[in-house]
Amino acid sequence: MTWHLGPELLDRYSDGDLDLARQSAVETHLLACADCRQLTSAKAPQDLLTDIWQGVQIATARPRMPWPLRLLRKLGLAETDAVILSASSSLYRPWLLSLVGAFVIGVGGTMMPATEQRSLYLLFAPLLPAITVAAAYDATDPIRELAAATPFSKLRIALLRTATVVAIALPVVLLAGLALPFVGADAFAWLLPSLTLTLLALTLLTWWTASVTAWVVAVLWLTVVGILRSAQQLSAVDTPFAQLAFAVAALLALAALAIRLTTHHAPGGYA
Amino acid sequence: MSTLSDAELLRNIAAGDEAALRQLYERHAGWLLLRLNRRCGSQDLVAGALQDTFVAVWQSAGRFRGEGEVAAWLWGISIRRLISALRGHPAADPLGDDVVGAAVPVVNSAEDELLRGVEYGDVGRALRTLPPELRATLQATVIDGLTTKEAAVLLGIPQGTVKSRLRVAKSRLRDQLMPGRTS
Amino acid sequence: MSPQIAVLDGVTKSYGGAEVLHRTDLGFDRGVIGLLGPNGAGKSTMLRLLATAMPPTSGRIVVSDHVVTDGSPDRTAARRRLSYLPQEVGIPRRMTSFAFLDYIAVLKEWKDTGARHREVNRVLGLVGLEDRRTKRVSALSGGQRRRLALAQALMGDPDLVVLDEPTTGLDPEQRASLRGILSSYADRGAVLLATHQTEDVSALCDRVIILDDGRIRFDGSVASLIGLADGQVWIGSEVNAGALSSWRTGTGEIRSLGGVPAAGSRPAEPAVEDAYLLVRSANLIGQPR
Repeated sequence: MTWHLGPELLDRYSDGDLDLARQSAVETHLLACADCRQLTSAKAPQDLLTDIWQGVQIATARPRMPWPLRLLRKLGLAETDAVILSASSSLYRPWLLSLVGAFVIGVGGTMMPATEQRSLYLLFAPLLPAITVAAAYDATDPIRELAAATPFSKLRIALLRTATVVAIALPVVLLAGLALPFVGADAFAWLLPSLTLTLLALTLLTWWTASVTAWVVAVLWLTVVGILRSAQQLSAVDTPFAQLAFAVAALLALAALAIRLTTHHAPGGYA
Repeated sequence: MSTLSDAELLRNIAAGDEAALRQLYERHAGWLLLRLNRRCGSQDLVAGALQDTFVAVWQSAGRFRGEGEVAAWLWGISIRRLISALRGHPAADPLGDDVVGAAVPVVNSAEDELLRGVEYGDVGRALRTLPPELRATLQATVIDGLTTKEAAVLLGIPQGTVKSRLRVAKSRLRDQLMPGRTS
Repeated sequence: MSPQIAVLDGVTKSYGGAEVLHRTDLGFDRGVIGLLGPNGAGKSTMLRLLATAMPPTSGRIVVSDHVVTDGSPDRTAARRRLSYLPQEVGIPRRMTSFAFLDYIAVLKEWKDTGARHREVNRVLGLVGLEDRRTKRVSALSGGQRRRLALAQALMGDPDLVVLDEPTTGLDPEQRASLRGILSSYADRGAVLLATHQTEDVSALCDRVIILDDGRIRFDGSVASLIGLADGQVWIGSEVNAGALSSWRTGTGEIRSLGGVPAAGSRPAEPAVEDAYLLVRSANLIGQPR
C-alpha cells in the first residue's frame, strides 16, 4: 500500500464532505486496508453501533418457532401464547405420543385374538389425550417453583396446553380407530372416558408433577379396564348406561378441578 | 483482542461462536455504517441493513468462500441489504444464494489500480468533470459493483436511465483520458 | 414512614405436621437483607413464602401493599412486583439461554416482543452470558446455568427481589459484579438473600437475620451482629480453653473464638462469621432491633 488515509481525509469522508471521486478512492482503499478501516470505524457513531449490535444479538438469538406454531400465529395465536406453547414442547410430543399410541394399537391389535383387540383399543385410546396433557407439563416441571411466583395466569397456561394437545391427539386416535378394522363401534365409545381421564389428569396436576400424574392416571384406567375384562364386560363400554356413568365421572372430575382452582391451586403450582 | 484473521473469525462464527461474531462486528460495523450512510440518507434503513448484514453473516458464515477480502464480502452483503430495504420488501431469506453468489469482491485488480490513481491522477480529474448524476451512476456500478437493476433502486431512477448514463459516462471518460481515440 | 415493601404477619409453615417456620413477624424496607442460618433452618421456606411460590399454613403476607394471602388477584398483583431465584432451578436442557429467559419474561407478562427481547438481552449482559445466548442449557457449565437462573430474577424493576443462595457457583469477579447489581436494585426496593457466605453479608447487607430451627435468632444491623462478638476473638500462641472454634492463621498464630483467653493472647477484630457462630451456639441470643 503506497498511501493511507490522513486524519483530514477521514474526517471529511465520515462527514460526507468529499466529492465522489475522492470518496470512491477512500472506499476502494478501505476494502484493502485493515488499519484504515479501524481508523474509519472509530469515526462512526458508537451509540448507534451499540443499538444495532443489540438488534443483531436479539435477531440471532431469538428462538425460531416450529412451523406448526408459526401457522397458529398466522391464524391469530398471540405471540406470548406461542412462546408458552413452544416452551412446553406440547406440539411435537403429543404428535409423537399419539402416533406411537395409534401404531401400538394397530400393530398390537392385529396380533391378538378378536376379544383382546377390543380391550387393547379401549385401554390405549382414552389414555392418550390424558397422558399427552400431563406430558405437556413435563418440560416445565423443573421450574415449577419459579413459574409459580410469576403473574401469568396458570389457568390460561393449562387451557392453552390442553386445547393444543387435545386438538392434536384427538384426530390421530380417532382416525386410527376408524381405520382399524377391529375397532368398529368403539371408535367413538372412548371419547367420554377420555374426557374424564383428561380432566382427572388436570386435577391431579394441581398436586403432583407430570410424571407422577401420568402414572397414576394410567394405573387407574388400567385397573378399570382390567376389572371389566375379568368380568367379561368389555363390550359394556358402549352401552348407554356406561356412557352415562362416564359422563357423570367427567362432571365430578370437572367439579374437583374447579374446587382446586378456586382454592388457589392450578395445574403446575400455586395459583 | 485476539489476532484471528477475518476469515478465521468467519469459520468460528460458522461453528456457532457468538464472541467471534461480536469481534467481526467490532472490526467492520463502523466503516460499513459510514459507507452505507454515503449511499442512503435514511438512518433507519441504514441501521436495518447493517443489522441484517450481521444476522446474515451469523446464519451463513459458512458460505464465505475463503477467497478475497472479507471486507468486500461484507460490503457486498450490506449494500444489497440496503437495496432490498429500499425496494420496500426485504427478501424473506436474509441471504439467498443470489446475494451470496453476487457478493464476491467487487473490485478486480485492474480497476483497483485505476482507482488508487483516482485521487491524484488523470482519472480523478476526468471524473471531476463529469456531472454529479453520471458520477453517482459510475459509483454505484463500478465502485459498489451493483447490477444496473440494483443501481436503479439505489439511485431511485429507472434501469434504462442507469444504462444510458453509464454509456455517456464511459464515453466521456474515454474522451478525456484517451483523446483522439474513437469509440 | 412509608409502608414496608414486604411483611410477614404471624406466618407459620408446616409440612405434614412438622412446623418448619414458627410464627414469624417480620417487615422489610428498602436495602439488602441477608438471611443466615444452617441448612434446614427454614431460610428457603421463608423465601418461598415471600415469593408467593407456596401458601403459608397460617398468617398474613403482604408484598407491595398487596395481601398475597387474600386471594388470586392480590397475589397476581404482588407477583408483578417481585422476582425470585429458587435454590434449585432445573432449567430445561434443550432450551437455549435466550429461549429460557424469553419464556420466563412471558410468564412475567412482558407482552411487547421487542421490549421483552431487549430486556432478555440486557439481563444476559448483566450476568456475563451475552456470548451464550444461542447455546443450549445442556452446553452450559454449572456456574453458567446458575447465572442464567439468576438473570431471570434481574428482569424488570421489582420492589422485592428474593434470592436463595445467589452467589453459589460464581467466581470472585462474578460475585463482585453481582454485589454491584444487587446494590443498584436495593436503591429502589428490598433485596432479600439467603446465603452461606458471611463475606456477602458483611460486604452487602444493611440488615442480617439469623434463622435457626424455624425461629429468628438475630435481627439487626451487621455492625450490631459483629458487636456481639466483641471481646470474644483472640489471637495467640495457644488455643483458648473451651473455644467455640479455633484455627491456625497464615501467620502461624492461633485464632480462637470464645472460651477463656490463653496466656499471652491478644484480642482481635471479630467478623460476621464469629458473631454468627456465637449466635448459633446460643452463647448469646441476639436482641431483635
